[in-house]
Amino acid sequence: MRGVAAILVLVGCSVTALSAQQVAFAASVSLELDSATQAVVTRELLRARERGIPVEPLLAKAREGRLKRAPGERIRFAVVALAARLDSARGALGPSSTLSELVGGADAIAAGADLAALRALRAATTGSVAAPVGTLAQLCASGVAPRRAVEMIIALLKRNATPAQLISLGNQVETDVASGLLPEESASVRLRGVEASLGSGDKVQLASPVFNNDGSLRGTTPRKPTRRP
Amino acid sequence: MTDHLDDTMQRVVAALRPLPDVDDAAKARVLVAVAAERHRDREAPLKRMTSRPRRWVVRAVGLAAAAVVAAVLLRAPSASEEPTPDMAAASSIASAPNAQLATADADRSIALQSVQLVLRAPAAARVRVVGDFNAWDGSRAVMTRDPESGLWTATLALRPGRHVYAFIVDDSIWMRDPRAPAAADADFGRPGSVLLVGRP
Repeated sequence: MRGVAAILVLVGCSVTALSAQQVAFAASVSLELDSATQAVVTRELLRARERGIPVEPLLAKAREGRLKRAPGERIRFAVVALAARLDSARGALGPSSTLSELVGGADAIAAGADLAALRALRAATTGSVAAPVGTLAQLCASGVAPRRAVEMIIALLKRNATPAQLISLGNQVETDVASGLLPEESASVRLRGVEASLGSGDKVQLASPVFNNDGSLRGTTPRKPTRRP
Repeated sequence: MTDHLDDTMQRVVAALRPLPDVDDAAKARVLVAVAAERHRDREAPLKRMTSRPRRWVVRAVGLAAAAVVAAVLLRAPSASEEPTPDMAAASSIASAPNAQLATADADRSIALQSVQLVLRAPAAARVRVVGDFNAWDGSRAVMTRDPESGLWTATLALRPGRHVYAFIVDDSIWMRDPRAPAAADADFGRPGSVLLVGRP
């Protein structure tokens, strides 16, 4: 009997909590947006929650659009596009990804990285990939080829580069490119700089490619079963 | 006698009532810690359950039934709807000033860095800084005018990495930071400024 009561209480609390959250979302989207935009943004927020995608970045995007006095149509488009990128990032990085990992992943996708790149970074470390995906986004946005950027980051992760070192690499390349250096040129030089800071004098090995020729991740293609004699 | 005691108690209560001022960063840290503690508490019953083998089966069946009923009624929201520690922390402090600035992921090993932004706008009555670090919410970061120089300043605690921001002057004028490089804006076509935190 107590068990049944507990179940009913649990269900009741869950329903109440969800309704309250939905009301809170609807209220928080009311950012002086026109009704059509508000409807789209609310729908995207609810859809995002159902799919387990964080809603904070979507709200921030709507707020950014309103601050910039963008037309409603552009705000709607931006929010929907960001939701799609966050969804893709979550698919590639896994359902337990943190907010900053997903935001970094979405940024990387926007900058031209593909899902295989995100999966490669996730597979390369057991720790947070917030800094690696953020660096990937920054390198890609600076003009470094995504595959090259992924290989650089993975090589550094294998050398136990810290998140701060990865972030520093992205910042330096962006600064270099803004001041006129070619992206690949800057990436090579700055990679050597990180190598030096890692000590031991070994060079970061970029010889082992992360991807197969068909674009899939190396080591993920199914092997043919071998027959035993 | 009772009246005397009541009177004394009332004076004690009155003396204790005023709360000391606590700075916002400290509040945010406490809220993050509370959220993390709440997350641990959520896991604690499961640990207790596993330590009591006899009751474990009964409780597990009850919880499973509750989960099934809840999932059906709520149209099975996804597993990650259950907040991760950082998301719980984020939602807990969502209303705190500069909330996002203090919302460090639980797994983040990088320390926030203090950054001072400066703007010369002598005719302005009010300047706010908005950016990805405060979720473009201007109410969270109002700049203050330095009485000596007349410059508007704000000191923020930011995660290392790339940030995009801008100033809003007198609640109406969007202004890039003239000291920082421009950040292209593919979504809305209104560039902000780039702030790189964490350069060696």
